[in-house]
Amino acid sequence: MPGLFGVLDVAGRGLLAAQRGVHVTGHNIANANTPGYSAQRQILGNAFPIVHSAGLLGTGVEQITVERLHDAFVQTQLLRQGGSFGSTRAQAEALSQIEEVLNEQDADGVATVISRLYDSFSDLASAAAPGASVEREALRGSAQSLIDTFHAFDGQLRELQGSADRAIRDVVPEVNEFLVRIQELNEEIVRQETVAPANDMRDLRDQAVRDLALLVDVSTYETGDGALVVTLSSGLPLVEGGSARTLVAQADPTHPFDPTYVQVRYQDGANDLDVTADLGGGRLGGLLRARDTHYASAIRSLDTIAYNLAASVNSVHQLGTGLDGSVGDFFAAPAAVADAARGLALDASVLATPDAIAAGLGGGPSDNRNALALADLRHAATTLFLPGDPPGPASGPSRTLLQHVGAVVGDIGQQARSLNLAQGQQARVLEGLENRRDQVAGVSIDEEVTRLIRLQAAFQANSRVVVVVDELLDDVLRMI
Amino acid sequence: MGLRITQAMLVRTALADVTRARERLAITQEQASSGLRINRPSDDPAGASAALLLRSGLDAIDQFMRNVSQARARVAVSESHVAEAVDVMIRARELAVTGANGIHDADSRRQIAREIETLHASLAATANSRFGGGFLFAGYAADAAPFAVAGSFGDAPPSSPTVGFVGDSNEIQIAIDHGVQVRAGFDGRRVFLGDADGDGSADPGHQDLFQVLADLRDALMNDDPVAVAGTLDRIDESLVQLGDERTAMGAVAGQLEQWDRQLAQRSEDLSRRLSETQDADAARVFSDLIQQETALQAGLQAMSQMIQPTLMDFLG
Repeated sequence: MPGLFGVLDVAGRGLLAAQRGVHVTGHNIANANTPGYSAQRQILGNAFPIVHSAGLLGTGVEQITVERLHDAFVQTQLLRQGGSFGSTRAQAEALSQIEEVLNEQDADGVATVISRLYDSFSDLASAAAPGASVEREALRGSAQSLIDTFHAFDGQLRELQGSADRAIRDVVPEVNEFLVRIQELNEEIVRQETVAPANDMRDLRDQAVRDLALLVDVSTYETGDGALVVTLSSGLPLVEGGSARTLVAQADPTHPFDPTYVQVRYQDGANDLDVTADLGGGRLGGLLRARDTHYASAIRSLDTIAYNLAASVNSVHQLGTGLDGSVGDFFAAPAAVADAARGLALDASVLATPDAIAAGLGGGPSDNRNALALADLRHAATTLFLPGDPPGPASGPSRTLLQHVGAVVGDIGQQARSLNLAQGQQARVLEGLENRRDQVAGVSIDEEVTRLIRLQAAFQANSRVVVVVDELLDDVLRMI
Repeated sequence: MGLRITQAMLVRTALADVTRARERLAITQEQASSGLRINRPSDDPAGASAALLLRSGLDAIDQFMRNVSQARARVAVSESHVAEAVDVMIRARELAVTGANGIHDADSRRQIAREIETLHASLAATANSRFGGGFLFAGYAADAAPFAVAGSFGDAPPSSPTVGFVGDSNEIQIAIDHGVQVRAGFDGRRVFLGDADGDGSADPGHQDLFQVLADLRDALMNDDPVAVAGTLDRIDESLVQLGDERTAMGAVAGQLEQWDRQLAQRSEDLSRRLSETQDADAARVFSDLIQQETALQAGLQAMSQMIQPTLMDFLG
């Protein structure tokens, strides 16, 4: 009934709308610094009018809903870029570790110790004393410190590879936690959205998916009821329907470096699949590439250098004879390129006595012809053996060993450089996307305070209406 | 929908900018403190690879220079011993000239013969001289004296010890550059016995120095001035033989000296190239340092003002 009490109703709705508006604004201000929070907006609409002989009379305002500001496109971009960034960062870390190990710029590296070995061969050739016992001992010493250096570098690279493996084991349960969390949020959202948009739950879920994407490359789509399906980039569902699947890190007995290294398996009730090869992105993918590609190839590069060094020195050493008349190897002959650095050692005969070092070709104790040939190895370009070559013929490039070391170092530097650049670039892109997300969905304090003032004014104006109606009612009552 | 600039965006951008400024500053500071432009391969992969090869090239040159000085010492000592042998033969020639003179009698010739005996002994000592623990003229068999003196001087009838060569005639080579070797040992049999082909007797035009001295001594003991005079030509031939060896040694010494200079020059060139490749340009690094410090301070200043006024500050 349109009457004074009807006006009170209108004012009351106005007061309520303003009060709820303050609530929404307050919620926004409170969450101004919450990561992943999207600003919410109160959506108002006219209340249904009442029919009256004088025309339709409005009944005030009504809050239709509260919606959140959201840009689905930016969210998709953030997922993709997050996956690339997570992967690149893990790989860039690995490469910078590798180049620290193989850094020749600030410490004695592989090239230095190889160069010293050649120097020692040359010193042996120029020795004045017959038998050159001092030079033989010095040569054994520099060979031993070369071996120690190879062992140390190999050990450091394997230690780093092992720590990448441990990081993989740590990331997998983190992934599973996110999957469970997303599944729980899915249930909550579906339940809440039978009533109204589940703004806050959706923010939490978006954030969880973004965090997940940093760990593993995922794609998402939403079903009609509001649940989010999360799949691996290969299409295998991680969260779908009522259940989350799990990833499991499990020892891989066929791993070429260490049978305790893990593979990542995908398990739902029915399937148990090895998905290690599918995981390209995210920190998990990056760690797998670090372990199985970057560290692995660095270790094999060191092995290649060790194998070719031992093979070339031995091939010349075998041509000569030791002071004691012996003929044999200088380094213990490596069986294969793989693990040659780890297994590098002096031949047992040389280890037993420096007189077994074949400086001559069977002349007297000052015969230095083979030592000259050994020293010449520094400049000898040979076709290098690559992993997988022996016992077959060498198939590598033809260069001197030191040139090869230079090429390996340059190669690793190049990879580290491009990964560093990519990481910097992706960090900027991510930053840009976060900013774009903020432009749409972020909380601006200025804006919220302005809104607050407006709402305050609206509240006061509505109160004014109540006061006026009150006075009118007083007037009416006084008339009685 | 209007795009908004929020607090969070400003803070994020400022923080990222300051972080990057700090990273750049850290890189420049590292360059300033190490003096190197390349501190790890990724700073300049091609440069790091080139620097590695330049360093190993420098190392090789250092080694060759050490070998050169070793060879120089060896050759210089060999030459001084040949010079001693020359002195011996010159003294022997003087004595032969004196002994061939008819005014001397058998006694004085006997006296001269005694001096020849000491010359013979000192020549043997010279031929068996050592360098760095090895016998210089013994070839590869440097652990034993190459010249074996058998017998002794007898007076009636006059007899002299025989000197046999028990070393080998290999001449030790030393590498002084990639693919370049020099002779740093000299065949004692050729130098002192005039026997280059190893047939056990002096080659035509060459002399067994010990035999010449022995024959001279025996001729003096026999008081035979004609035979004494007959050794003069052989002594002259010996001096030519020793002179040829000295010339050869001098040639090696000259080559070594030249090579030493050349290696030093190359070492300098490589050092310069290494420095160009890997060293930081000090002037630039320090001006960068100042500039980047200023930029960082400006960034920090901006950030301190980031607790920026909002509308709140202006409302009663």
